[in-house]
Amino acid sequence: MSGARRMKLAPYLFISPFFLGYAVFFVYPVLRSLYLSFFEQQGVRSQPRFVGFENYLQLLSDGLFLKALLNTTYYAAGSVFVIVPAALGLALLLTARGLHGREFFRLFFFAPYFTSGVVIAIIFSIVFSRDYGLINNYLLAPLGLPKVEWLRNPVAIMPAIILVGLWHYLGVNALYFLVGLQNIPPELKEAAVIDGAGSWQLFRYVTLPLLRPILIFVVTIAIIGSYNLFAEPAVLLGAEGGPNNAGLFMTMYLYLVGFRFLDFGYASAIGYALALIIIALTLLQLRLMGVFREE
Amino acid sequence: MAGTRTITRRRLLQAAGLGGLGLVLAACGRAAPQGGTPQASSGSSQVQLELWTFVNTHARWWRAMAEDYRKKVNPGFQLKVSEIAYQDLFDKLRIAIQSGGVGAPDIADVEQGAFGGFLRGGSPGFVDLTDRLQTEGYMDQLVASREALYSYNGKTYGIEHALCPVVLYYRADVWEAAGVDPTRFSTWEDYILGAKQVARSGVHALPFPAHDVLLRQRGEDYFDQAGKVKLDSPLSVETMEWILALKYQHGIAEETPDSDQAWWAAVKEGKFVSVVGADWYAGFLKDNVPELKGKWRAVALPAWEKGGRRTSCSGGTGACILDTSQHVEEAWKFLKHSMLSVEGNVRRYEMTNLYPPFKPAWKSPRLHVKDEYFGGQDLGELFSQLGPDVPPQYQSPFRTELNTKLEASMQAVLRRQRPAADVFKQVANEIRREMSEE
Repeated sequence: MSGARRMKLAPYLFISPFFLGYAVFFVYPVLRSLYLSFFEQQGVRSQPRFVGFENYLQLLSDGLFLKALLNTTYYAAGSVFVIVPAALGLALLLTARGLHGREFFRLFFFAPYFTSGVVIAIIFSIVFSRDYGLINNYLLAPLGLPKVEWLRNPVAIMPAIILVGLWHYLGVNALYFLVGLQNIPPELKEAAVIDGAGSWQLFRYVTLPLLRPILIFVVTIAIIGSYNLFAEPAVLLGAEGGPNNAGLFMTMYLYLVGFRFLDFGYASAIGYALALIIIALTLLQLRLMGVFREE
Repeated sequence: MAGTRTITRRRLLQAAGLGGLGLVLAACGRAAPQGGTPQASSGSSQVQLELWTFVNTHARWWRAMAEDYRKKVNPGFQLKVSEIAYQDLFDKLRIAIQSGGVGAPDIADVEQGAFGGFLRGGSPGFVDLTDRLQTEGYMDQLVASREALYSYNGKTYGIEHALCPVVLYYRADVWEAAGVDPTRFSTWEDYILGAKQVARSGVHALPFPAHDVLLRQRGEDYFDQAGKVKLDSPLSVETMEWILALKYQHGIAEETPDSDQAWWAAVKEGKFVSVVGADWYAGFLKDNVPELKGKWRAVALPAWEKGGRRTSCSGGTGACILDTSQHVEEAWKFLKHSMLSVEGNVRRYEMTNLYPPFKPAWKSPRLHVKDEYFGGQDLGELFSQLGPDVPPQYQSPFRTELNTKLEASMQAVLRRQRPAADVFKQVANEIRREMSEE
């Protein structure tokens, strides 16, 4: 009896370190911040005051929150409609026949992914410099284009951040697509070619449908990653997101409210709003891509 | 045989699992708030203090002072100095204070810009040093206006490291070549006249000076002594308009370039030939443009009217004792030995280039050395002359919030896309609303 119980206990103890850590460092903070989001607490050592849904209602009329939501959505759109297609294009190029130095290019485009966002932001603060930067002096000037104030012009700030995202995440997304492309059975393509399909038709009616599971995965990760982006814009522009808060992301606003303005309750409400938005967008996206459709 | 081994292994696993649980429980136990009754420690006891700072030069100085204290006062004294990145230090410190002192240091360097955040809420988490500073006579030895940065509601929570007097740094070679002698400026009017001789296409006399620095030179600030918001005062708006005129009317100033690297590159190329900066800016120049050695000089700021104040203040860092510390008395004794002694202050100037706010140290010959970078000029002499005039900067729990909001709109003001009066009024009113809600 006692031996049998011991036998049952052992496996649970064996896996317990992970669950204990998970409970302490994930479940508890998640529940605690839900609780906090119904309170107002200003600064350290102050007494929290119960305010019900006031924090959530305040979000709806908070200009900075709405601005951060808009900025973050802008980036997410850039992520889905610029970075993901570019990654797919790159993956197609990397699988092209007769490509020399294939291994080199794979590593070349994947390497930025190993680097921390903070380091990338510091490098790009030099790259984006108006007078001394790489882009203005070596890409735009030879084409006769005017200098862009990447980090000072509110209109140019989001494109600049998307450019950083493109550089950082292109390779890893291309890698996912590469795996997907390699799993497409060559006989399907051969059959389509024999049926007279051109390269566009081949891509549109054979490759793309078969890539759908990968595409769903990549787009989902891109959306979640976009709404969680913090390090790059925060380091490039400062926590307030630069001139006119043009680069203020939701995570940065959460950080500002929680750690600079020390309103932990309101910051928790921002965190939950962020989580709800991510869940809603992911479900919408999965639905649009037909994940819930009966096969 | 095999059976016993299985049981042994299982026992081991169970023990490990319970051990892990024990660790978690132990961690929870520590998280319980610790009582605020610090125990006094005697003179030569074994005591280890922990100190957090965010600058490597400070860390070096703290370690040197700890060594000195161990030799001269308490041989059992140990100081563990941790260098933590600027923003991280204050985030961690707040979390430590909020959780009742878990993992908190005994002493922390708190930068003046971050200090206001600690005034928000129940209590700042630092030991009130007012009585100690007053009864032991230190308040008269420190430049009083500097202590305002770490004071609120009549209580002083920190001791300032640096006097931070603001001066005008200028490229002597360039100004001389234009036939202008900046040492003869007495007012900003003189400066503008002279600067017009120096400014040419691509060469600016100076970057836009910081609005708050010039405002303090004129005796006002974003908050007044009572904590009221003064950002949108007539003097504040007028000062901003004056700064804008430096570029749009006089053609002598330009916006600071968009990154630190771009700024120093521009300085190196001689695109900016003077700059308004505090004492610590001398160290910035030496570190970032060493090739301009011998070409820079410093003079007192031009005054707003003849006979007016010739300096301001910018920056600062205070040493604070955490009220969760178990060794408050030892920490105070160590701070007296390091922060409130002539030797400590002189050593700090030698090691960090921060001119001390501790007046008895000003006479030390070691604070008056000829600086080759500044063509043999004795900067210490200039700083100590200006020291008594350094204006106060008042602290507010809402300063971080005001600065964060103002920062986002400052560029629109500097480019005249929005009138300064409107922006200042809007930010000031937002902060006033926040204050009334609390």
